[in-house]
Amino acid sequence: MLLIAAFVLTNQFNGFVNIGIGSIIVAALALAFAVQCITHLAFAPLPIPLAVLYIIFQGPLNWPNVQWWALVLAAVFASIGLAILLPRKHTHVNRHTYSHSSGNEFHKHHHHSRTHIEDGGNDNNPSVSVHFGSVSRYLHAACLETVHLDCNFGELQVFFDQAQLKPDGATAILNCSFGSIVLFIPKTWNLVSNLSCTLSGVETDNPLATPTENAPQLTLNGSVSFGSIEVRYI
Amino acid sequence: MKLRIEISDGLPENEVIIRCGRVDNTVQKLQAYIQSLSAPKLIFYKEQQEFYFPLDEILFFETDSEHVYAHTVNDAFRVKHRLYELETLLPHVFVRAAKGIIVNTSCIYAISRNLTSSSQVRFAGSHKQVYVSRHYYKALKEKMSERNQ
Repeated sequence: MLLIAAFVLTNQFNGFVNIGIGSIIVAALALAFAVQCITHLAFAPLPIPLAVLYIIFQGPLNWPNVQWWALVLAAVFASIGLAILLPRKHTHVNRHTYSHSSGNEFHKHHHHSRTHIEDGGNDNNPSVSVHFGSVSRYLHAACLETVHLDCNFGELQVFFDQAQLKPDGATAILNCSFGSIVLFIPKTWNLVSNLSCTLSGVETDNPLATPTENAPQLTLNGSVSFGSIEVRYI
Repeated sequence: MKLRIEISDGLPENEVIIRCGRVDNTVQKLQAYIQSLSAPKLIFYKEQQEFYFPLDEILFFETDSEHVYAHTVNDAFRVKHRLYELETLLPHVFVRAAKGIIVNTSCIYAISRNLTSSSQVRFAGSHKQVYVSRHYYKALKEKMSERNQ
């Protein structure tokens, strides 16, 4: 409402643009929606309000002329692309909570303004999710089966040296977009990488690695887009 | 070095004052030794075994889902105290670095400052690293400055 008031006043005082009241209301709503998207770290819908703003202001501000349908189509495709690259799997929690359910399951959330760090699963199947934060996690599993690691716009370090793998091996499922994941792995382990990579860096080979026969096997699955995954042998 | 013991009536707690011209190696060792006398004796657990070792071997305490772990250079042990209990029990060289981490400032080798996110702490002689959240960074820096004086 304050934005609409400001737009109306600038319009009346021969301000920087000269547009109708209907366009002013739509522009203010689009701007408010864009701001809300950014503050809630929901980037997928962001192109839509930006396209609306462009359509409204391209004439008054003499921006390059683009057909409205082309802008809307481009915004929809950009939204779909961002939704794939930056999946939002978790509801944000505005406090720090521990909730224990049956068995050894746990969930732990850290939420500080932009950053969102979430731990889940159980000791042998842990999961860590980081959005806009930096965190290091030490795994202490007695029989590690799977570990899920999500990192968007953040840094995540995971130390495997205190964990015991399941005799037939363990799987790490990594999902990294615009972030960095570093895995610290004992140099005697066998490492199998099935990571798919889009415009990213994956570094799993290291001359320090000296895998032994019958050593535990860790398989890396998942994908990395516009980010990096590095394995450091210790 | 002169040694003087004063006996005062009505002192609620024994107090040790080290009077010196500058803080050199000897003074630091004295300080560490006196602190170790008043430090709590923690028991560390790993695979049905109990371990007893001095606190200065601990790089940091970290909590995951429900357990608290004490990390040494190459190992990690469970402790039966909660992190907030340790915060009050431990000597002043241990400070909170994040919600789930208490670090031993005397073992810190490097802090990589990052203006936009958490700063990274590395420890002498270990591959282990932790992140300091911005909320606790200032207190940690003050403690590190005290250590270097």
